[in-house]
Amino acid sequence: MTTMQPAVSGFDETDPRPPVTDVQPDSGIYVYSIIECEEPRTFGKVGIGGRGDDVYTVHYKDLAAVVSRTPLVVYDPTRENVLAHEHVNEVSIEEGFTPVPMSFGTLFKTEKDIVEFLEDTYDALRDVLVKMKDKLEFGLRVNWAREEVLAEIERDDEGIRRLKEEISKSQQSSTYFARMQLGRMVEQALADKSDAYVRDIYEYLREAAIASRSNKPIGDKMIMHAAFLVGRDQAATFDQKVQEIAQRYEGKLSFRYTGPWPPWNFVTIRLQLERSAVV
Amino acid sequence: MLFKLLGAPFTLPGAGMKFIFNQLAELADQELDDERVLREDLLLLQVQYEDGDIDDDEYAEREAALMVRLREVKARKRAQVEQVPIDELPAEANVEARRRMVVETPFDE
Repeated sequence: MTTMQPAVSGFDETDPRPPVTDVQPDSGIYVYSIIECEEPRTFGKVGIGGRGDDVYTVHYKDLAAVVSRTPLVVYDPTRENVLAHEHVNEVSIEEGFTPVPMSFGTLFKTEKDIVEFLEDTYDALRDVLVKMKDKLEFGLRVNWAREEVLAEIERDDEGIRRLKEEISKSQQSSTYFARMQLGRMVEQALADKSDAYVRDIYEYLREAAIASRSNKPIGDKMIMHAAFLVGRDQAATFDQKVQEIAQRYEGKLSFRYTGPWPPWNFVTIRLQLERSAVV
Repeated sequence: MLFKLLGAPFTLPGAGMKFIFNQLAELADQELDDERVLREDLLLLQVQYEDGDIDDDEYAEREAALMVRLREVKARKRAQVEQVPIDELPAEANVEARRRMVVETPFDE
């Protein structure tokens, strides 16, 4: 982790340069990502906030921030806003860039502040851009059909099957402990299955990916929540492999596969509140 | 013993500061936890929506409720860092505060 001291303070009053003309009391600039780009360019009228603001670049040396104008407001991470933010990144990926994403909701007051930020963090940003060049992220979430897997376990697991038969034959209260034991065995078998699926999927996809990151599964149906860093030239192969592994587990597991994204899970640039400033 | 007594008046204020500092740090951790929980709730909501478990209306309603809470947590956190009462927070987003830029790469080739 690289940390830098404040890059986005307000105006420096001793700054001899003339005030930048874009300063309006109610206007800010939303930053989506940093890209390697020397010539000014635009990415369409797809800016966040629903006004159709132009998405354009603000430059320092060979780096550029991908930005759009916006009122100076706090953007809630609603689905609509997050999709708008992601859409801009998608467009820049389609145009062949590898954006290093800014965390959602990052606003600057002026273009001058952005240039200062690029200047102050230039070395770190360059490092990251080099590291991430032509690497994209794909997301993979896997849900399981728990009932299907359970049926399979009850069919195939010798111990569980036998215990179940014993319980169904006997009507006595002594089966209470047997039932408890059965419950534990089933839970364990389910957990083992889940681990085995996840391991197998990682194993299968690994060779087409540069790195992977496993996030906490969300909800009770999900068994895998992962991000893969994939080279642009490997994207088609990775895609193919995801289709294949999804086919292998059809009926038991459902795959939700998204991307390409900028490498969110592998690099982030964010403004951090300074805790030491508290005292 | 004498040494310890003599030392006491000097060390106490320090200890007091440290106590306050720890309290603040704990408070900040609590806020971070609250935010993390809300973000997890939001993720779960997204997943439920994308899996078709909830419809547009329910999604919108629950998202709005989460946003209200997220704003509260963030406002408390900002008020604490910027040392202003919560109802006097400037409306500006992410600017002018005491903050630093962090570039994280939890990844190595």
